Amino acid sequence: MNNLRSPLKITLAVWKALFLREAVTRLSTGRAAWLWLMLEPLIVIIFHLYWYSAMHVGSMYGMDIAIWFMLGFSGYFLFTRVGNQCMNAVDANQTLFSYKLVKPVDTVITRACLESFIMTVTISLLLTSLVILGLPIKVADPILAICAWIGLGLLGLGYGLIFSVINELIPEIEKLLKFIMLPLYFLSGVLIPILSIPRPYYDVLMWNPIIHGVEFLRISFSNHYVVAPNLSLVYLYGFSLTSVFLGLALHVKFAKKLVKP
Amino acid sequence: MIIIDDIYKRYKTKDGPGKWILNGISLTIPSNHNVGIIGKNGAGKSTLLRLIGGVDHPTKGSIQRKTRISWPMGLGSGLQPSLTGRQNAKFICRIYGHESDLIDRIDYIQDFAEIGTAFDEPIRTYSSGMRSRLQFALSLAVDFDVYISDEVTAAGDASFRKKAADAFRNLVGKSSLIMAAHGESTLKEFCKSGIWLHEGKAYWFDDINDALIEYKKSELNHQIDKALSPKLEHQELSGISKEMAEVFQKGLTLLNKGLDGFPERIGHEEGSHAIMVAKEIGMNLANIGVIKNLGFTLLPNKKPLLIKYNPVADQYVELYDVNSQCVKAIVSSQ
Repeated sequence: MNNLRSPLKITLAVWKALFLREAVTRLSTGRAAWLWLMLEPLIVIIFHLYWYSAMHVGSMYGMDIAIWFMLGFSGYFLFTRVGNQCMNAVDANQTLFSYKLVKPVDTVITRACLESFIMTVTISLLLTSLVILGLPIKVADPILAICAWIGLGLLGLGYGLIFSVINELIPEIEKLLKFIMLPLYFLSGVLIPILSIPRPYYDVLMWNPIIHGVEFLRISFSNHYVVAPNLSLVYLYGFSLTSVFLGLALHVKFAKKLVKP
Repeated sequence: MIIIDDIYKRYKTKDGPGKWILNGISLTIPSNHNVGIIGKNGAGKSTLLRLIGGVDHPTKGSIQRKTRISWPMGLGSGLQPSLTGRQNAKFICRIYGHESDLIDRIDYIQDFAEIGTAFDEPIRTYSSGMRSRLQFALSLAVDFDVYISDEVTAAGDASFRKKAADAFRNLVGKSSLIMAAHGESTLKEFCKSGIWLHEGKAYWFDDINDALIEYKKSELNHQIDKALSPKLEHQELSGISKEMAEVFQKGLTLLNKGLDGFPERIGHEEGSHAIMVAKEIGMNLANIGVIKNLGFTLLPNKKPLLIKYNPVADQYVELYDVNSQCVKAIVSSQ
């Protein structure tokens, strides 16, 4: 009885075990699953690049269009992938809750870590391949780049934490959420540059925290990229940290309801 | 020590909250004390074990456990079907902090579960027997102070059951055991004390034998009430063991043939005990003439009987042997 482990030690052991387990399932289910994880953003980028270059768009507000796309999509994919993986974490890991050391929130957090890790590897590989292709990539502000990247990851975690609880309590929400998230693609400054949006709509769109993250990511990679007005890292972090805390609070409040008998 | 403080449990059903499975249970299970949980199907044995193991939470009340408790070992869940046995085993060893001697423990699991090369195949390809053997090996590979077993000794073939029982015997002194089992001998072998679950309440018995007797008495009472209810007639015998049912049926057939010469005709049958006792306490056999149904159940050991007549109900007479082992005669008058 005196050799009980401390709660922190247990949690860290659980996170490590979950992380390794998730990594195995995520990277090994299906043929060359890891390859598809990398290829998916690449294919999307190449597809849009082809489409834009057909319209003779070579650069976007002082940034090469390929880099502009790559950063935009990577940032956006970081949010959606972390968000979606986290959202389904509780449901997918129900079997594990028969070990009482594993709490639903652990599965969400480890999935966020794994997914951000995969996306970080992906963006690094994409950047490297663009450099090899001869594109002039220079990180103007590495700290800002890391801040924007982490901010987007946290945003995904907050979203995932909140909806992993809500979807378990009210399963219908998930279907509704798919419709709501569909136009987000176009409203996050990934495809359509935010600067091209006229004033009254611009201010409305700026409520979307993803735009802040994506734009700062681009800014950090160039000295010449036009900085959109009203961008704020404080807003991005305020939004993401609030949603993370709200999500954690929901997990505490409904911990018992998340485990299905 | 596990302190269960006034817990209630009910499950959600399609039509709102279900009935209370556990209805106000308070128990203190001492450390290093093997306990058996007894109760009929649906009495809440598995529910209670799940609550003690922390797999599920009580609707009301709390459970304090300042000790390392296993998950219910017989539980089929907890294995990820798409991962191999080895991957699942690694995961479990890791969450329980057995990182440093991971390889030894994995070897132990592989050796104990006896599933051969299937250890490196996904769990979904396993048969239910393989699954439960692996599940059992997994729980033994982790160090716990208290192991919870839900019918685990019933899993697998005879040799595995023996192996499992040996493993339990090896735990003595190191860890304790809380188990639910239908096999009386298993409970008697491993458990010192008993908890009898009945209609949502729990009753603690320091001696497992007392718990078993109390349980069987209540079971038979229930069966007899059922047999006596006008709707079901006496043919309703579910829940009574096959041998018992046969004795019961034999007696009824004899009775239906007519009561003339009844004591003689069944003189060599087991039911004669009931009649003899009825005689002894002065029940006039002539009165039995007006009795339409006389059924009885006897345990194989033919010990002397003690009769308890219920004058209020005036419907049945309960018979116990001197050890309060449940032996019953049903006498319904119409």
